Amino acid sequence: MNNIIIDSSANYNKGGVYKLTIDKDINIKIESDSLVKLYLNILKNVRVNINAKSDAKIYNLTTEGIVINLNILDKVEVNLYNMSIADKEIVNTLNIYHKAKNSISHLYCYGVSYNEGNMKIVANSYINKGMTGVNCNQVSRTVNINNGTSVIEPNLYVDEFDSVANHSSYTGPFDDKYLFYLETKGISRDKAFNLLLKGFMKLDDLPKDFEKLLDEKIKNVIGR
Amino acid sequence: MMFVIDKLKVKPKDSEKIILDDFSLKIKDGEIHAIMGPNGVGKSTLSKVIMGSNHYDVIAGSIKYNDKELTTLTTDEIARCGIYIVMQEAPVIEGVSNSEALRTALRERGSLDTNLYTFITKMNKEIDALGLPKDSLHRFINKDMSGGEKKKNEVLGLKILKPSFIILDELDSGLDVDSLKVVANNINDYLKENQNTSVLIITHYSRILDLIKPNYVHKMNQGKIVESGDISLAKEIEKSGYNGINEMDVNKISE
Repeated sequence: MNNIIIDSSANYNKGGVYKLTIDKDINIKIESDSLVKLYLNILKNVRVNINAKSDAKIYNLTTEGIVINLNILDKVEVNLYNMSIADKEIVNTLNIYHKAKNSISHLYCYGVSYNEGNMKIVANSYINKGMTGVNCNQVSRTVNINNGTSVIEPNLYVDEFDSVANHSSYTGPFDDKYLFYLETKGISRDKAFNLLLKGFMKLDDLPKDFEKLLDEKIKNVIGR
Repeated sequence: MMFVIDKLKVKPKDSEKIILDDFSLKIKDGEIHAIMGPNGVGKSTLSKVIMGSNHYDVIAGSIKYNDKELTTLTTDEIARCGIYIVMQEAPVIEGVSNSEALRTALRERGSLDTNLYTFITKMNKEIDALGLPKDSLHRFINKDMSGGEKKKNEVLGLKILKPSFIILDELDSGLDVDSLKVVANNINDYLKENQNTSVLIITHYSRILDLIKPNYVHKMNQGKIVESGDISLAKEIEKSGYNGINEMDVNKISE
């Protein structure tokens, strides 16, 4: 994994897997001939602007309030996975701007709010007039633990008939049928809950060190 | 050693309707019992109540396994007594792999072999025996699996966790003939190797009983067993139905 940061910008013009730890506002350019996988660990309340001209999968893990602006500038497919864990008041705002015809986006926002957590996920996707053939999707899920609360605001701003836009969102506890199933295997309710929580937050395949980072953050929730 | 249900009376948590009423059943070690009945007589409720589902209230009666009262135990404690259910509809659980769940289950039982290689070898052997996809070990529970594969996946758990009492809830639903044979053969192999293991088969149809042969067959209606016999009872039911239990009330339909 490589970090290529020049001042407050980072450029990725080769396909591959990259990891970036971010503690200040940053502009990221992705323009490659093959898939770029970018793993972000955002440490502070910052704004991240991403311009994507090639296929990309972007994974973000944070416990902070953040804004990510993703501009899709070519006929490409970009997946943005946002994993947030909150034990305080935070707002995650994810803006997806389709600025190219036939571009595709998948936005996944998964969050856990625990203890004194008050999490707000604002997911905005924009398809302006003339952006024909765009396919835009949002999936948002949050789980509240103890006194944690969360709100999801999914917004699809669509001004083009010839486009597809979908969203689904869910806030609440884990479905009892999952806990019951694991318990019927002899797994205690606490352990079953922990398995579900880890599984819930692990979106897609994550590199080992990024997964370890996620595990560390989840441990705080589990050891609540 | 025996599994005994005595005068069990059960209702759902959110309703006053009695589902199991004065239900009694005794199963000795190594015996296979089948409960047959049409939809809605409480067969699947029985399996969930045995497993301690919190969606039901036990109003009266008891369920004992090896003299241990199960109605006061939690679901995981019941499972750790050696009771395993092959669910009619096992859920898909994203993010939790078969391997992770079964290793956790073994660890909870205190019977996890610390050697990961041994565990993986054992899993792969059973995956092959069941004809499951090679990647089933690391696959999320039941993810991208057909109805038949889900049932096989449940039997995979059975062979790893080695229960002494097995509940098969509508095992044949969602299974094609070939898959049903594979699943039944694997369960029969397990029973041959573990001869004290008892089985409770819950089913609508007798075809599963041709493959896993019961010692006793019970007919269930309105929350209780109304008739018991051997395999010939299952054949009789197959031939003549549930003697009116399943017949529709024409007056009700016309209302």
